[in-house]
Amino acid sequence: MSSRSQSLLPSDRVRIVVASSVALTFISYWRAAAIVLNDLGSSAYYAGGIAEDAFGRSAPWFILGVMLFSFAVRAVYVESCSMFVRGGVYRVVKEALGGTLAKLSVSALMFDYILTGPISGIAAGQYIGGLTNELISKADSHGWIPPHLHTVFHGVPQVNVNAVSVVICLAVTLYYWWENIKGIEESSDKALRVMQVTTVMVVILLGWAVVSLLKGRGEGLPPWPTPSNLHFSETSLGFLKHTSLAHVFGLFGILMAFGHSVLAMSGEETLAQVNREIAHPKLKNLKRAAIIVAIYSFVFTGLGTLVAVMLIPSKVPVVSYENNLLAELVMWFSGPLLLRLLFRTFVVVVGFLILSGAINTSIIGSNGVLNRVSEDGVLTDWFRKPQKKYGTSYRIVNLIVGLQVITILLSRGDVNVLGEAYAFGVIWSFTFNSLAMLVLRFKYKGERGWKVPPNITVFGREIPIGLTSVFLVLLITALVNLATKEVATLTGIIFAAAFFVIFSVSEQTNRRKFKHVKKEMTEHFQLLHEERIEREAVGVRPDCTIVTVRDYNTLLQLRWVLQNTDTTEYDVVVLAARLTGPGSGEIDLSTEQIFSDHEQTLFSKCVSIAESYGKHISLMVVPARDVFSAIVQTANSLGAARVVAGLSTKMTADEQGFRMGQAWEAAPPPKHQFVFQVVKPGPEVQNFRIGPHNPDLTSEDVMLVHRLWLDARRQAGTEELHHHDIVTLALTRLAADYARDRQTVLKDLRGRVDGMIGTTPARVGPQGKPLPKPISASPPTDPRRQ
Amino acid sequence: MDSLLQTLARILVVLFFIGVIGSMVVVVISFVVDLELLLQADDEPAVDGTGTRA
Repeated sequence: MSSRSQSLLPSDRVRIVVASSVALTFISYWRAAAIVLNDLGSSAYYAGGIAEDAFGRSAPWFILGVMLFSFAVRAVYVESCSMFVRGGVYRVVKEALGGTLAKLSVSALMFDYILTGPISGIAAGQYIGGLTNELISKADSHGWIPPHLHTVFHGVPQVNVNAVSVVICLAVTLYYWWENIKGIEESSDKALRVMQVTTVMVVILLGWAVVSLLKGRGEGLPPWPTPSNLHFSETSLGFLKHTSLAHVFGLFGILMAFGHSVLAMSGEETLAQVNREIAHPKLKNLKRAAIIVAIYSFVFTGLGTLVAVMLIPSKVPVVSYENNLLAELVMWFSGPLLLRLLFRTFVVVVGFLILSGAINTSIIGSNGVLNRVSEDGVLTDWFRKPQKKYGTSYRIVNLIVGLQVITILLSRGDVNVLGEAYAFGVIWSFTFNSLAMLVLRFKYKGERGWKVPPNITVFGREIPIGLTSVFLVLLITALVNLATKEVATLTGIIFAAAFFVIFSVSEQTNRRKFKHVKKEMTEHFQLLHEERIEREAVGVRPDCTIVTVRDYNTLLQLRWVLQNTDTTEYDVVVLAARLTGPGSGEIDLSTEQIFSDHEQTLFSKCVSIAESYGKHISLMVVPARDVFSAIVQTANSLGAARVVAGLSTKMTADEQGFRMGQAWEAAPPPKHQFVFQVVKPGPEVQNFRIGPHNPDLTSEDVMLVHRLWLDARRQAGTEELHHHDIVTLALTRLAADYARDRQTVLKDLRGRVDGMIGTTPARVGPQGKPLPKPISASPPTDPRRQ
Repeated sequence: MDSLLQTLARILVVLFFIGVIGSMVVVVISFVVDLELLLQADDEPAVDGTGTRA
């Protein structure tokens, strides 16, 4: 490639290579299941209480029924994911039913996501507030509360649980707002750990419940799910309370009760969100994750609610524990009070972890969905403008969290109100998804990875019996809920309509605007879409330099590279890793998706810097969930000799180097070693070698190897001995020591890294005599550092 | 109005229970197949619900 100045003339447009596949790090099905369960499993803490409050003590049967039915809903999601890598509701509905219904369905999904945060946070607060009051009551019964506090509180001191819930929910939501503004990655490690702790809790909870039942505690099985056993509260009758159906509902009552229990399966959509990240073989692992999720949530939410109603006596009013179902359950176990209180505390701590995790999942999920629709041109660039310091879509995050904060304040800490509304989004997004899948059965005749069974063929036409059945149940439940859930219907319709209007107006604005952008694009830039990054397609030679860019105000690294690189010998590739939301990017990024105002300014500035040096650069955009992973995968594909980045605003250069090393280790083979350089203001450059490489031996180390070799060489039978044999033997022995006594070896290694030479054994020669002082007394270096 | 509601309710009940029966068939078939898949070793070829190799 010749060195040439890049002009912005139409005849010599700047080429930008756009990778259409998102660079992802793939996760196992266990991790995928853990992420979904963080959302789905959290409903065990509140779904049972809300259902029991709505229609009485036969609620567990309906919760179990919903959890069984969720197996069928899961099958629909697996089919949609087998057709579209990201089988979320927007993509599927758009394909089947068109843009308008897709916008409507995604509005319902947004309602679901926006409410997931507040309901989870408020539920966590209710458990903490409930535990605090229980502990105060017990302390008071032992006379540990000073009498004058009774005067102040007009009785036993108690906290206002609803107020505590609002405060806790706000605090956690704001914490995760800030984390998302900074751009934390969704950690499957964290999700897995939370689910491991939750599993321990679930096993103890159910085990202890069974033991208590066997000891004769409780009142046996709940009333059977027959119409005569359904006792609807006035609120749970909704718009039907003034009709004859409120009194003579018959079997229709079963439908109403099912509708009030449906929020127990909220979180299934997360399955579609994580699908893209599931490791190969994708469909097989997706199905494994889905079955784990279904079984786990059946056991936790379904059986948990069942044993709760069996053990909590019917004389205890539901209102006293509806928001604290699992905590109340523990108090009715057999065994010492102290042990029960300790376990209740454990249940509350686990609840806080899983429920606060659900808040984060809701922010990440909504951010992903909105980013996804904005990539489709449904939201304007204004929403997608990257945060100056962290590069995240902060306006979308602000919008989501702003709506969640308003919801939290309006709910005043009442889980029931939120639960009512929550079911609207859950059921309608499922309904849209299954309708779309049904339509696609007739519209799209091509092969699918999997189909919801059973399917029968009549006169050469396939009848999707299973899919139609699931759709029927979902649609009827959604329609019944419209009648029985006043709050949900009103707030849901207002919310969905508001989002629908925003989407429609934004889409129109975008269409007008991009007529102009497309014109500019045609004049200045030439976009080359590539499914995969390959050196030949990009047109760069081996050992090129990749310069990562994000903020057009800080391009010091590009200037430094251009100043120090002979571009006639080595190509320079400017790489912008485009952060995408979870699950997004399953289709080719279009011109308008890549070239928002921000990207246009960024690339124009890079080109103008290159022009000022009279050097050529190649431009490239890679969509990514994890920036480091995207950089490593691009460097591997291009066979880059070095990657140069600016100093991050979030981490030190050492941390950047470490993260790059981690991404390299996680990258799939074949892998290519390269040097990572971080350019700090000054400019000062810090170098890291990424991948396995020869260690930088000090002259002291070389001297030791040489002396050992010399001494051994003097002995008989060592004529063929080389220096590398000394190193190999030493390493083999170190490996054996490490396997035998890892802690001691680690202690010695840490001593070297910390420079605590005094704690390490003195260096000895082959005869056990101390070695002479090293020639170079430089401190030990990080093996990754050059 | 009330009689219309009652009629509508009856239709919905019938459709709902038809859907529930069909969904239970989905649950049974997909559960058996997927559980088998979950318990399979990684190197074995997987057979999905439609009888094709996944």
